[in-house]
Amino acid sequence: MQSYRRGNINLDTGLHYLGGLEKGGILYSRFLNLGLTTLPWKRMDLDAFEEIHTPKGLYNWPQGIDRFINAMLQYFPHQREGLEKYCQLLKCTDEEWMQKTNAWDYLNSIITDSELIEVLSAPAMCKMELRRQSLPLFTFVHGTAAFIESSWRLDGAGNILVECLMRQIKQLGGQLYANKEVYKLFEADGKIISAICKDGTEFDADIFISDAHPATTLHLIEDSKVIKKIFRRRMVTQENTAGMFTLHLQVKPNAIKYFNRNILVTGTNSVWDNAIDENHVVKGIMISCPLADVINGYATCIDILTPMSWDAVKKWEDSRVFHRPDGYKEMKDSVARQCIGMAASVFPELEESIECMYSSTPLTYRDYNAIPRGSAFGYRKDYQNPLMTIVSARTPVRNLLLTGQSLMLHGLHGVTMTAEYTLKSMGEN
Amino acid sequence: MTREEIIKKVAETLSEEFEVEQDVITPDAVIYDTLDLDSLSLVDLVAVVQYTFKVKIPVSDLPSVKTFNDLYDYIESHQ
Repeated sequence: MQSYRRGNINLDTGLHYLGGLEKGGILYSRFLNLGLTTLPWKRMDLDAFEEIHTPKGLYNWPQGIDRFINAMLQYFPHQREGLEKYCQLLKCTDEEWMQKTNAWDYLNSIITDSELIEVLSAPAMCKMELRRQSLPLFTFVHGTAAFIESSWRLDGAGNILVECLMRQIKQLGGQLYANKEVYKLFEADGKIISAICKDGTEFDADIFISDAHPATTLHLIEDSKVIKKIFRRRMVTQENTAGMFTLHLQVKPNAIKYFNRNILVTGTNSVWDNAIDENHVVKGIMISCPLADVINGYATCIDILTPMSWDAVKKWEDSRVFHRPDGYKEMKDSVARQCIGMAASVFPELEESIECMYSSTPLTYRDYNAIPRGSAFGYRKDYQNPLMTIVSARTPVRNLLLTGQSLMLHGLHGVTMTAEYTLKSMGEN
Repeated sequence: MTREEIIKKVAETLSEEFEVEQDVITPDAVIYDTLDLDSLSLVDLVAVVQYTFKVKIPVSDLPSVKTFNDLYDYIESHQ
């Protein structure tokens, strides 16, 4: 949810759109309780909130599950049976079954047209790790169904959401501290006694909740009498999802009209397992137009995202932000040019409209957010092993709890649900 | 891996990872009591077995693994 400014534009690192915010939607009551429904949310295009360009055609996703299924039937009339099953899947509430089911295998079991599978999967490309071997159906459905029900953009930088939450916390008597990097959690008698910050400030508390990556949190506790080696090893060695390459393009005034939809462009490769690897070839992109800085109906910024694995940046892993060695900038430029080239199939005028661009890689995410390997969605969930890959909010330290995207679900909806789960665990403790 | 090798490896690994003495890991000892397991550290046991023996214990099988003898049997039959 963090955003930052470069020149005159706001750049969001994660929040591009969210789903399920209509009254009765999966996120609505949660956001109502958090006072977030009053923010300026703008509904995305009802007839086409996702516009998908594949080498074989153009497909629009309308909002509303029934309208969506009908639209897909227009494109793929021979897949009626599969689409009816897909419709049932979007409404499925059997979480345990979905957690133990492979998303890729399931889609292939109900749909026989590979193009339809690509169309149904493309918008998930930048919302989850589309990994054939591991992605649980649960993650796929949660990252898809709510968006089909209704999709929304925030009319402002992601910061206004953070500021709204901050106001709520203050109204409830809470205090917030910024620029206080915790470097140690001090444990005594099986409890965390205090959090010690780099500037020497020390915070004592009865309960500590960390939304940092679990491995990062564990690194803060050097000496523990209750954390066994295996727990530490499990948290540190558990696999993480791939990262993301994000390209922010500042465009010239009155050059590109604001588009109230996401545009997905795929190449000849499947959107599954399409993260950029050490060969630095872009295979598919998502193009988004942030509302924050739209002027007279024209965009000032366009974001392009594409999944990027750690292998793509591994050779520079010893470097830190602002001190990257030779080759890194060239790699970023090359990937950016490929993204712009792919986007040009939809926006031929894009390249000549660019004023300047900023990009980030998994290394950027790692260095700014302390996420191992710059993972975009935290721990990788595995349908074959939900017991180990869905991490508990509880830790062996009885007053230390975890929350955030690595535990149960990622995304704005996911972390909100996970926060509720953490609170429930706190009650159990 | 032979059963003897499994027994030896289980003792070495669990004593190291759960920080208990090797001699408390005996065939008839109850795993939960010996390793002081709760629902959280039970996952750690599953992790040790998976890392060490490449054997996954699904939740549905956990109730049948009560003693170390049960664990040796499970590993031996699933490796």
